[in-house]
Amino acid sequence: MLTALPFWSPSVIARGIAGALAALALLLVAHAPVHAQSGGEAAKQLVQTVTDRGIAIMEDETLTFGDMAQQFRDLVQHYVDTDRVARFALGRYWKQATPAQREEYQQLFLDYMVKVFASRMGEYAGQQVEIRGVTQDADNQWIVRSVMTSPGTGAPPLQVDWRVRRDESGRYKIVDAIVEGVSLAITQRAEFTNYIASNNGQVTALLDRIRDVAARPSLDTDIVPEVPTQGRSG
Amino acid sequence: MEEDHGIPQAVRRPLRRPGWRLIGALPCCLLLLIGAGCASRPPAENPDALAAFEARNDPLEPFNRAMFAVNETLDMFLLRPAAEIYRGVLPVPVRSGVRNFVNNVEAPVTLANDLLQGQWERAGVTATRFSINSTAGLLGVLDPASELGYEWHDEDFGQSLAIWGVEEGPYLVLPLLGPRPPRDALGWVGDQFLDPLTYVFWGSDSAIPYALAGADLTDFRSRNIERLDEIERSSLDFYVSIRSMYRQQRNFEIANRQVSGKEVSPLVPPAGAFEFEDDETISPGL
Repeated sequence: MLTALPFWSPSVIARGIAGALAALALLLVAHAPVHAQSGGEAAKQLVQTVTDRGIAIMEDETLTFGDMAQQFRDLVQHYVDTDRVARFALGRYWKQATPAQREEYQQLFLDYMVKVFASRMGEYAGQQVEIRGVTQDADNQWIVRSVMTSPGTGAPPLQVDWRVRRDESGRYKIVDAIVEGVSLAITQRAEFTNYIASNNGQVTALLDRIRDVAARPSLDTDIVPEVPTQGRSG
Repeated sequence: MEEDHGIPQAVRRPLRRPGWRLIGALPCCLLLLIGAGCASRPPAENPDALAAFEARNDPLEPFNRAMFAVNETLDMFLLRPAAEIYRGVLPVPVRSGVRNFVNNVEAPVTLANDLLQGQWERAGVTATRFSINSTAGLLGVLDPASELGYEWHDEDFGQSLAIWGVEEGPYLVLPLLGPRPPRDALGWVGDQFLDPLTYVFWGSDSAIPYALAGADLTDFRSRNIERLDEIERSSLDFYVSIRSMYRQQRNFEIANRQVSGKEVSPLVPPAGAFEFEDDETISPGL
């Protein structure tokens, strides 16, 4: 029932030709005069920088959790467009929020995300990120493809795609990370909008919850506490 | 496009094996419980709530949450302890061997679905992997095909149905199987019929199908223990996170793991989603 694919199949030949062409192109580029970096290159460089420093922070065993969170916070604040991601994550409820609520929300969002990701990223220490390529998605946006591997553990590599946006001032920032097809921005928006919807559409309910999480020193307990036996909390 | 999706490889596709024995039991349970588990639809006078309800596409939410809780209990008392023991006792090469073996046993189903989707090159890769690994790979325990450049990929009948244009349908959580919207539930049934082992063990009382299913599920679970823990700990609502993640990852698999380009999943946010007309988000000085 099974036919083995001959090793000289058309696709293998095509790959060989593509490889040769790529090598030729590299040769030409290496001798080309150096111009200003293209958007795609800048996007790739941004992701490389962020992942290198992120992993270095996680692997630094001399840091306390507080230090690690602080360094993470600085990294995220500098390289991620948190205001934009925050607005995306509020979805339809952004329109309903008052300006004061919006401002508080965006200020809290950074700390909230750092807490959440510091806890979720803990297991990614010891891993390596390899940039595989970049495609342009819009005039000012690129998707950088990367693969996260954990050498030695036998775990399969994870595909991580980064959406990088160049803002009006020319700075490149990350606006989304898509891990194995799961967009962190979309998942966050699902959580937030669902939470607000199940609290009668009150944005303040979400703000209270985010404020609570952002203020915690670490995430060693669940975000949503167990209901105490005496009565309901929050 | 508001909601949902994605598990990092965790509850993605367990339990392919003794499925055909459970097929009869499930519809009866469903009919009994679905009646009690429908969510109340917001009235038309509340357009925002109604829009949110539609976007969520989870009209059976109370039922689903109940099933989700059942699965969490089963996981806490049965599956997770088994996975932890499995991971603690067996060394990495043995566990990789289990994973390779299970993947190889399931290769015929993947091949069938590659063909059903018209993916000839991927079918060729699957067939090559199967022949190399079954022989040189000692019945699939080793994976020399990957070293030769033939990468593993997964296909199931749910994905084939999706390629043919079948909509996912309302979100559904089934006991044991986990998140399984109607299209994927039908896909799971279809896979049982596509699997040659179903016919090999038809009518026999052999424990082998169950052993295979158990190995598959336990190995899967063991590779995602901390990841799922972190998601649960940092979620506002674990059920909602899983719902969102499941759908995202399904669409990613259906698009053969492309995030940009013409095959992309409709759930990956497009570039335009991050642009806002009245740009109040730009904070001066940052």
